[in-house]
Amino acid sequence: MWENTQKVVLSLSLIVLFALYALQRQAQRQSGSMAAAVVRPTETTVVAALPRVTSTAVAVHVTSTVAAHAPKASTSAALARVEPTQTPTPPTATATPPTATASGAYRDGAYDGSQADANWGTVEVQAVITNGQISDVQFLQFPNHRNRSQEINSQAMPILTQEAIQSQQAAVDVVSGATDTSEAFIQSLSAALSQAAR
Amino acid sequence: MIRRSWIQMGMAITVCIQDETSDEDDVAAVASWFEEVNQRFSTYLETSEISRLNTGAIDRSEASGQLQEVLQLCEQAKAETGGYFDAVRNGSIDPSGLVKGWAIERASALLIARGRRNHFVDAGGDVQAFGRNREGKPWRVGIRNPFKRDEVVKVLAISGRGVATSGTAARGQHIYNPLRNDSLSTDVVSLTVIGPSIFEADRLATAAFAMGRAGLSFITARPGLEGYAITAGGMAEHTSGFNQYVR
Repeated sequence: MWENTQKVVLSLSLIVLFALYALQRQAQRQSGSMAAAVVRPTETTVVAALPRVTSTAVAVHVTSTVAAHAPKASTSAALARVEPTQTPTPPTATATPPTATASGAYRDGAYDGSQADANWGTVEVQAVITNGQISDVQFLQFPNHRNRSQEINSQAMPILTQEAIQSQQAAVDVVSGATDTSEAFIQSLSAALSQAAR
Repeated sequence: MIRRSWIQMGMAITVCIQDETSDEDDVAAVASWFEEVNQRFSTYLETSEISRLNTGAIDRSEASGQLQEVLQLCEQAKAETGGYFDAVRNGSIDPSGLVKGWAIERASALLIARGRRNHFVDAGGDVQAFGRNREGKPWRVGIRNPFKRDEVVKVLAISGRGVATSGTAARGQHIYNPLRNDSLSTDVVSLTVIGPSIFEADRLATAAFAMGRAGLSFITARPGLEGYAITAGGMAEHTSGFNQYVR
């Protein structure tokens, strides 16, 4: 019974926190100021506000997914798709104490990976093991853009032409692309999994 | 022509040398250099010089010439970008965002010194290219589609330039929705910068990406740089001189 009350309190406080953030963001937008400190999409603030729950799996919905492209085959299987949504749902806490009967490669539980630098922020993930297998992977921290107090004058921004991106089948010698976050994610996940490994 | 790919410094490295006289020793020289960089600058190695500086085992005046140079470049980058590039994090120094481009540029200079004037060096998606490819044309550098990593959305002709792309591969992949019409769809998920060298392109791409929509204006304001920004909604903007590179 106490467990249920805890869950309700936790989910209510998440909802309240999120509502406060949404209100604040709306107020910012209405005031017309273009803060250089653009607080990035909702998921970063929500994640930052969460209490660290170490023994239970907290389903945090973030508008991001883990890149399926990974250099190591072993980690790609672990990547879980997280659904996009604007409102946090009540945490589905499933206490999973280590069980002697689990037959997978990992001990059940939730394991936090180390903080891995993503060059302009920190990535930290939590791996959730159920029945010896990786059942979920969550972001605990996501690269957060710095809070700059200086504002960039929006009137100084030239109006640039927009185009829709177009995929091409052209042959190239080499591809330039962002890898930072993926690398940091993999590092953090590896650290989490090595804690979980038998 | 010789082309080799491997993992080093936690990144996928590719070296491609078109010069007919090139050989494995050229590639080995680049790998040795990157190993030296790793040993000196990796914050994941306790024994690296940067780690020993951060723990106080050595102080700045005792640091090697290369480390001192990089630290100075970090301070310069911070000043030039109004703090958007900042190597100081949680009280310790992490110059990784700058070392990457710096190391690639030096690798390229190493190859030039060995007479390999037609090559590119790619480390983690940052590319420095010189000379011509096997078609006798500038190197064809694709800009990765942030929503589908096996596709490119632009092809650039690059010679004597550096190309760096900063972005959020993890986030961008999921957000793309052409029907979406809210504020999130204008978030920049990928910013590519073409600069006179990969060192310039890399450090400024990192800072400009952190500035969000204003990042492209920052690139526009700096002479010699061109940029291409892709938003979460699948739209893109570019600087005025960008198209000269497009094929």
